[in-house]
Amino acid sequence: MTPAVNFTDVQVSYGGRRRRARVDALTDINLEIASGERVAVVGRSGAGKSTIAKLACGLTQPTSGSVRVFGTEMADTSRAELRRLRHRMHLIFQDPYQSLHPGLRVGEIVNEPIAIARGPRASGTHVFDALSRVGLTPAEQFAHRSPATLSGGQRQRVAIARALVAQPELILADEPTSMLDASLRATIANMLLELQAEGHAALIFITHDLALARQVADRIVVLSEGRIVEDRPTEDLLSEPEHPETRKLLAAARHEPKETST
Amino acid sequence: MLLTLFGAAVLADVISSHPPDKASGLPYARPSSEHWLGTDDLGRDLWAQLVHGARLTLAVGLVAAISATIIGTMVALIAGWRGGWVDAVLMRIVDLTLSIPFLVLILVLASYFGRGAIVTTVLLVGVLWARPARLLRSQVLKLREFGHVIAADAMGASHPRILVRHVLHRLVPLLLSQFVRAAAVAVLVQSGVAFLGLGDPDRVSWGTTLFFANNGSAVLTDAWLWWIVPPGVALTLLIVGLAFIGLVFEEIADPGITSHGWRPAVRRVLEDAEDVPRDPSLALDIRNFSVDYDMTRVVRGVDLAVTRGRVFGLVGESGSGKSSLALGVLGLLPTGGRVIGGAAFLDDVDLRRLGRVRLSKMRGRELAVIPQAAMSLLDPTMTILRQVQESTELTADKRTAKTRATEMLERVGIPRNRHGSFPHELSGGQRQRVVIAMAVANQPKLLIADEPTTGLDVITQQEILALLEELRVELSLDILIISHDLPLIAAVADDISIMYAGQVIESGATAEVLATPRHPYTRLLVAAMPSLDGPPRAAEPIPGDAPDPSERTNGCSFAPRCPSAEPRCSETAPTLEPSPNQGSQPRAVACHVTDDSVVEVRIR
Repeated sequence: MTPAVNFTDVQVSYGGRRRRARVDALTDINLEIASGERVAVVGRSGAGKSTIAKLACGLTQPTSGSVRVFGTEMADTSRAELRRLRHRMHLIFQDPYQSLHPGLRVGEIVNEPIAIARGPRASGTHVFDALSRVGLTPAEQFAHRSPATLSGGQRQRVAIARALVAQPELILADEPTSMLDASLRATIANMLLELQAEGHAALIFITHDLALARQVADRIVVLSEGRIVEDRPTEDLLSEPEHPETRKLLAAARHEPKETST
Repeated sequence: MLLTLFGAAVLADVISSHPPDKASGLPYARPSSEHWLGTDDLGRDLWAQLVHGARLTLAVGLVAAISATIIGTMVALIAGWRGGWVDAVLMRIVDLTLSIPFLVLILVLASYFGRGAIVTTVLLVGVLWARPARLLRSQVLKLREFGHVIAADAMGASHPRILVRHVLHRLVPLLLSQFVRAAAVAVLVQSGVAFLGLGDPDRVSWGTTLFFANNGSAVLTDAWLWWIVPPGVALTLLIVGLAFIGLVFEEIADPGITSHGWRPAVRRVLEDAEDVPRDPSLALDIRNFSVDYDMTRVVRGVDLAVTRGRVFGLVGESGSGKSSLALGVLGLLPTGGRVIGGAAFLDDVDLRRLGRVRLSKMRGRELAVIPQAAMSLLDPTMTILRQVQESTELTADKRTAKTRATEMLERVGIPRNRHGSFPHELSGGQRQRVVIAMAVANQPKLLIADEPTTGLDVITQQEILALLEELRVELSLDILIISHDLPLIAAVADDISIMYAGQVIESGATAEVLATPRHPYTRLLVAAMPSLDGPPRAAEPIPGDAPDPSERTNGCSFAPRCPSAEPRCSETAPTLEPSPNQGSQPRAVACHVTDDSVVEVRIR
């Protein structure tokens, strides 16, 4: 079976042709993610996590190496082919305040994947279905609201409802919960897992928090300065971290409680 | 007003009985029932000229403005979306067009090509499109990076679809304001050109009326009163009206440009909080504090006490009122926010009673603040050293201030060779260090830090928290730290208060509260904390949503989501009551159900 995503010797550099001005965002990335697999990409800011997501949906092209999604080489695709590929994947963003069009109603936003794939008139009852499933009930009422009237957690649920309608085979979630409160994080993480299980989709979950990665992923890829430094099953990696960067991330995520004098 | 003008133009034939361009009376006639505004030097009716003139004036204005806006928008969309060389070429053309002294150009070209209204219109379009093109293009560039635009692209939407639905849609207010501006310029220029005698002399417009008035020596007789004033007034009204509409659209496009902070009068209620004896071991003592936001109560009678020498953590989800409380205490509430009652003592001073000037003097000295998202609010045009120096200059002369600023930056871990950097050259963590240096530059007693690590990765978060802890010990700072992140607060705070829907629902020593949470909300929050130790377990989210602050009920605000709610919970709201504690710090809980169970435990 073709893997959902396959990176071979991927290198991404930004900035000028001159060697000295160039910044390497990613170096020697080899990564294969099967459909149905849940992978967390973990690292501190600037490690190149988001670039991985952008490569997978063709928003960025590699400087060298190959990125294949559903077996198709991203560099060779025509615009029409790229659009067809994108109908099979879905991106969920960090900032719930920016990812929803402020001029559209919630119902229109959730219906967008269908409108895009099948034409502007296409719509259906699954909009209400999806809204109810993410807990935005009564769905008919929420569908008519504007995103401006929703809280951050509700907006992120609208984004998940949109993903439910899209029925993606590949879910790319870029720090979708880092701006949310603890209980909302759990809510969103659980909904993502449900979405993933339903379509037996591949999930790429990008985060800097290993505790969160543990909740959603069965495999963790640790990035440091644009390189993969560790790529192992979640529980193995957490119980016996090998790379110093992993240990650092682990210590930070653990938030060892301070000694208190009560 | 504008409608009247447009109405007059449309109904010109109906409301004036005389032809505007043929003599219908004696020359220089005074206003009469026959000729409402009198006649000009050739005996033509001036009222007819005014209303018929409105037609041409408005038509040229509208057609020119519409065409210019459409062309400008197309150019903006193409340039902004395609980027690269297309953008570069188009923008050079825009720059060129904008740099031409267009009035002179129009005068020259108008005298060359002839005087027709169409020529004027075409010329106007030729110069007016550039301004909207440039402004809209920068918006397109900005919008291209917006989440929902990228999202549409990533969902496989076609480019025309994205441009129309996601980009153009959001440009509409700006587009309208640009259109109105273009219309105003077009009308003015057209009238100006006509007044200078370069308009079409065979067709009436306000400008030609003025031109004839000038030539017909209206100023020398008292004919100017009905010859020059009416078209002048009409022109002024039109321009003012358009400018006003433009402002309204601009306000919609970018609220805040002309925000005056109008707020309805609210009667202040001051409680006698000062009568309660003061506890000298408290660094900050907030009592019964309430804040309103646009008539909605967002902080409801909060008590909070920061003990000297201990770190205090205030936790709550977004919208729980934790930031409004802090901003209210500091006197920094934005427009629409208002402290309704309560007191906040720093030592023996009630910050609420200080008055604006003395309170702002205190901030940055005794009282330091790290505002929310401060690291993205640093001035991009100033070096970081200069910005820290702004703080140290509050208490020292220039030279000492500079030395102190340098020391502070080094103290927070920014090496000397980076002190001349601008904020955008630094990482998020380094910028936050700069903010901390600014906050503690004048050795404050109390530091209020609102979400000081949000937006940073976990490792940087730890480093920033470690820095705060070091500074706390070194400068004997008392710290109130505010965050939505319970695990983070749990790691740094000695004491904790948890806010829900504008109220503190539980408080006490952090270790005690986390070990034996008594309020159901706290219990659920603790259960939702992801864990790295022990067997993997699914996270337990809290069902439902926090209530909308404008829809308050009589009962406990958590009752609708609470697993242990009883009928009385939705009838009366529980107040924050003392609860049994183990250590030195008092505990308190606001819950009917828990009160009983804790009391039972104590009796046994």
